[in-house]
Amino acid sequence: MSNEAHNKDWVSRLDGLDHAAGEAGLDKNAAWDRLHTRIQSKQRSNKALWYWAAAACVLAACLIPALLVHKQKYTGVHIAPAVTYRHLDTPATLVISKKEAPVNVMKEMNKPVAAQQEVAAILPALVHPVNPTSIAATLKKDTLQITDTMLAAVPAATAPKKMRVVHINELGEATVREVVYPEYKPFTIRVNSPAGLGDQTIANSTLNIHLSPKN
Amino acid sequence: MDLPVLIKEAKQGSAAAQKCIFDQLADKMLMVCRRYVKNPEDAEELLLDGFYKFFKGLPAFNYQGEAALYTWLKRIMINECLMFLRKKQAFVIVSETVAETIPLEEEALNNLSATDIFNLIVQLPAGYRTVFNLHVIEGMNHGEIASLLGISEGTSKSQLSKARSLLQKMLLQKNITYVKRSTQ
Repeated sequence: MSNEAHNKDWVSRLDGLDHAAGEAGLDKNAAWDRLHTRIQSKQRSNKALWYWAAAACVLAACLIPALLVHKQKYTGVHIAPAVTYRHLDTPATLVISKKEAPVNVMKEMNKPVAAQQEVAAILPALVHPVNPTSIAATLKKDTLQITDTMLAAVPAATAPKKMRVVHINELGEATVREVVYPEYKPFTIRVNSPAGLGDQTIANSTLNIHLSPKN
Repeated sequence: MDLPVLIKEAKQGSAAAQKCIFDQLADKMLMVCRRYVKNPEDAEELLLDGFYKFFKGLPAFNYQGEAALYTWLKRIMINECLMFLRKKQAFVIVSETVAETIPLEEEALNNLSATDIFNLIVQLPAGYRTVFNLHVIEGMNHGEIASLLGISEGTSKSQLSKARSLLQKMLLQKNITYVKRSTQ
């Protein structure tokens, strides 16, 4: 507060002044109406704010559990299956040589054991993952270098060709006898045989059986 | 109705009680606002703002007598006025450290009516008027005024000194007119 001494008479008179002379006084009713409207509108806006806040809370309370449940399901669906990598001592390689000629069915049929060995060599490579470095190394070894160009002729790594389906009659008697049907016995039907119609002779290299119909 | 009862009911949100309080105190508070803000429309708007804050803060107010209530309400009004003046940049106070101490002619002021004093104060420039009101009428010291207006104490003192000087001149003119009028 001020230390200066004032004669407070005029100050108290000024403080108690209700209205300025020559001026219209305050229209209290109109002023009150404006003030009351302002108070009520603020209260209304505050109420509205609370209602919105409450609605937001309710919505959040409903959504959060639903989202959590959905999230659990969602994670269950999208879990990646466990992948187990098998360690191979010797990486399986697909050996492809340009020297390999197309399979000659007749020759292969004549060498059944060799064909089986080759298939056995190829099958693991098809079943198990192939080591690409070994393929590259193999291909590089067999690559034909063209010196005057930047290109290199690389034999395409082709899958083993399908074997041609051959009718058994095309194989020949010797092949059928050895490979397909070792117990093959050619037979002929003679019409003018001593036994008459139906006389059959089963030719066998080891056993020559003559069957005659029993009348 | 008694003011304590009205306050109690107004605290509970009674619009009728609030209107009674408004009717009782609005005139005086309007004059407080008018002392700071010259424009009557602005002063009326500030009065409503002040009463709105008053009713908003009333539930937390502990009634300790009529004087305390009046002081609190008056302080709210003064703060509203100062905020308004600051917002409108109604006064630019030039910082000065040197201030002459000019005594106020209390005798001359005592001879004037409250309305005349009010009219003299309103004629002062906004900066002088604000410091004069805060120091002489509200009884604040220069430190409080400086912190309230964001100026230095020296500036507050110099503003008060200039306000007094101007008021002396105005009083002198008024007395001359008064003497002239009385002798005619």
